[in-house]
Order: sequence, then structure tokens, then C-alpha cells
Amino acid sequence: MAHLTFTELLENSVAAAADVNSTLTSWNTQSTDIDASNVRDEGLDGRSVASRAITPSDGFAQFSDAGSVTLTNTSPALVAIGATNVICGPFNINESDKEQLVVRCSCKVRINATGSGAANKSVTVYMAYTDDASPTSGSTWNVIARSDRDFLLNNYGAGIDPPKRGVYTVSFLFSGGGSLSTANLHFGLFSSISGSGVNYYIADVHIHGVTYAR
Amino acid sequence: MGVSLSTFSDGTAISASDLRARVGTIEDFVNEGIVQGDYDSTAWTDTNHFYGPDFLYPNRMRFISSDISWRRTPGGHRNRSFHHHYSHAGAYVPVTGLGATFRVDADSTPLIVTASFYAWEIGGDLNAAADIENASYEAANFQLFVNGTAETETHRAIFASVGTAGLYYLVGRKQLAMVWAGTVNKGVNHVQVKVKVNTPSTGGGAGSDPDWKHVYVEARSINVEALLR
Repeated sequence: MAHLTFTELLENSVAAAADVNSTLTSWNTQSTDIDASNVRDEGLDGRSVASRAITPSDGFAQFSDAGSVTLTNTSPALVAIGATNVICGPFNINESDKEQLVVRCSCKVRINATGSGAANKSVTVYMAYTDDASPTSGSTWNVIARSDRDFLLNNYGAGIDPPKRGVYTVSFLFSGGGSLSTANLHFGLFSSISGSGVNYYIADVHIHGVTYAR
Repeated sequence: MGVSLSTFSDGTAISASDLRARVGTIEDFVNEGIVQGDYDSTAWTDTNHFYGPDFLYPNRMRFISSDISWRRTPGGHRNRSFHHHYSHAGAYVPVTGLGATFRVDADSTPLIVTASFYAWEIGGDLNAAADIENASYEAANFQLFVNGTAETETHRAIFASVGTAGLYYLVGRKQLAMVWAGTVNKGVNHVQVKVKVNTPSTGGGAGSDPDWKHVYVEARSINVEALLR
């Protein structure tokens, strides 16, 4: 609670230095302890705050890779482009600050299909999270509900296998509470294809996350 | 951080300028002199403390800790952005309605961009089923440009439409999207989704016409959020 104390200078009294200094030192000590008692409703206005006084919380991270990877896995697996796992983080959600995390991901998906043998294959892409501080493909990953998207390779007829190209894009809000972890959060991209004999690829991946206080 | 007001000593005259200097220091502090370390670090802010956003023209919202520039173009043939093979083929040009110019006041300002749009090609003479989404017939590419620099991880593509029989020509129509985050520096910044109509081949169809011609971008939107410091 930053409250200034003023020592009044009274008429017909001697103005001692200590009287003036009392007010000055009150400014010196209280001006570094501004809190709700100093801020009226709607008092926090960007135009009354010094430049660079506001910094994003620790929850701003991104993953970008303009490369591609060709995959054949029929069980869901963490996507890796070259030797780099597609993981974005870490994020820490401070529940006492009512923080929430928004994560967005977008990438290209293609099924490399030829011939009728590729019919009715589908690629599933989804996101998952872990609270492993040094995440790998072997970490315990938890699927982000409803982040999965399917890219279906329909068979329109002999030699016709469209559609086989698409864009995976998701955006979701991640908040703490319950059994969810709120520290060292990492988000990874997972994928698989429904059957063997056809490969697929993922390219041009970007993931970012940012925490916001409510 | 905070104010630092020097005190007076007993027996020393206090001049008007001494007082004015100290009052001036306090004025500077109260009026835009408060910095991050001056605030109590415990969680004390609540929604009632925040000044409401300003909604400005053109299509910008100003908040305490971020500015958002947004553009939205609804569907309908009157709202399309047209790009033809005979003009600017092979070069990236802006998609109308998918760009924003804005100012930030500090270097290394985090920037978040999301864009979504519906695009397709039409007019080429491809007609064989095997040509559908064939890698040889990549009609156009899209990328996000930030201050003229292509952010290559946002690369997206559409392929030439194929045939007039059945509905195969619809397969190449795509809802594309991209997200990107990075930083920009103090001053005016430009963010733009651009399209490149690739120079068309001519041998894919039965005739000698280009294998693809016109690229349309219809319903589209872009949000550009600058996280101010």
C-alpha cells in the first residue's frame, strides 16, 4: 500500500528542515510500491506508463522451420524435421496472476499418394503437451483435445486420389487448474497415417504461444 | 526507479528553486515516469483497473499492452483479389486486404500475425485426373512478408484447377491459413500476405494454352497484434 504522508507547514511556526524532509522521504519510499490503492478504476492506461514499462510475461516462445519431413509412421509420433523435434516452449502459467496461454500452430500437410492402392488413407495431425523440462519424443505427452485434424485421401476413381494437400492450423487457450501442470509446459506436433504403403510429409511449421493475464 | 528527492539540512535556506526542482521531479514521475520496478510485484491488478480499449480507424484497437490491426474482407465475387498469369507472373505481389501498416514505439516488440484466406486458380487447360494437385502444376504460392522480408515458414501453395467434368476442379480450392510470431523494431512496420502466380507451363493440357491462369483470393482476414513494452 503506497500512501504518502504529508507534514504540514503551519502558519506562525518555524519551518524546520525535518518537516519538509518528512514529505520528501515519504515520496522516496512510497514511489516504488505502487499498487491497487493508488489506481482508480480504469486507471491503468498505456498512455500514462513509461515506454518499455510493460514487458510480456515469460510465456512468449515460438518454433519456426521452413523445412519439410517425409514420414510413414502409422502410430502417432512427435514430428521431427531433420534432427529437430517440433516442440515449442517452455511456458509457465502463473495462476496467481490469472494467466492463460494461447497457442497457435500452422503447417502444410501432403499425402504422397499414387495409384488406387493409396485409396482411403488419411493423415491425422494433432498437438500435445508435456511438463517435461527437457522434452523428447519419449516424454509423457498429453493430447490437446480437439486439436486433431484429418487429411483424407479419397479415391474418386482409378488413378484419382484427391485431395492430398492441406494446411493444418489450430489455435487454443490453455489455462491452469485441476490436474493440469502449469510449469515447463511444452507443446509438440504429432502425426500419423492410417495405413502402410503411403508416405506423407509435413512442411513449413510455425508454432507460437503467449501468456495473457486475465 | 521511483523518485529520489534530496532532503534539506537544518540551518540552510530553502529557496523557491529548490522546491520547484523537487515538485518538478514529482511531476515527471507521476506523468509518464513510472517504470516497471515502481509497481508492487504481487498480483494486485484486476480487470476494473484497466482502461478500456480504443477502437480506431483504420481497423485498429489500442489496448494498454498491445495494439491490434485487423483487416477483414467477406466473401463474394465483388470482394476478390485478382492475380493473373500475364501480370507479375513469378513475382510476389500483395493480396488486397491482407496487409497492415502500424507503428510501434520500441525495438524488439513482439508481433503475432494470424491470417486466413480462401484461394483458387481457374482458367488453365489441364483436364486429366492425374493432374489434380500434381506437383508439376503448382499455380501460386503465398507467403507472409514482414517489412519486405519473406517469412518462409509461412509458405503456402495452391495447385491448378483441373478439368471441367465432374467437380474435380473444386479440389484445388483451398482454405489456407498461416500464423507467425517474431519481433519488429521501433517505427512504422509493414506486414503483408503476398501471392506469386508462378509462370505457367503450357504442355499439360490438350491445347497450347497455359496450364493455369487466374488466381482469386476471396474471403480473407488478418490480425496483427503488437505486444507493446
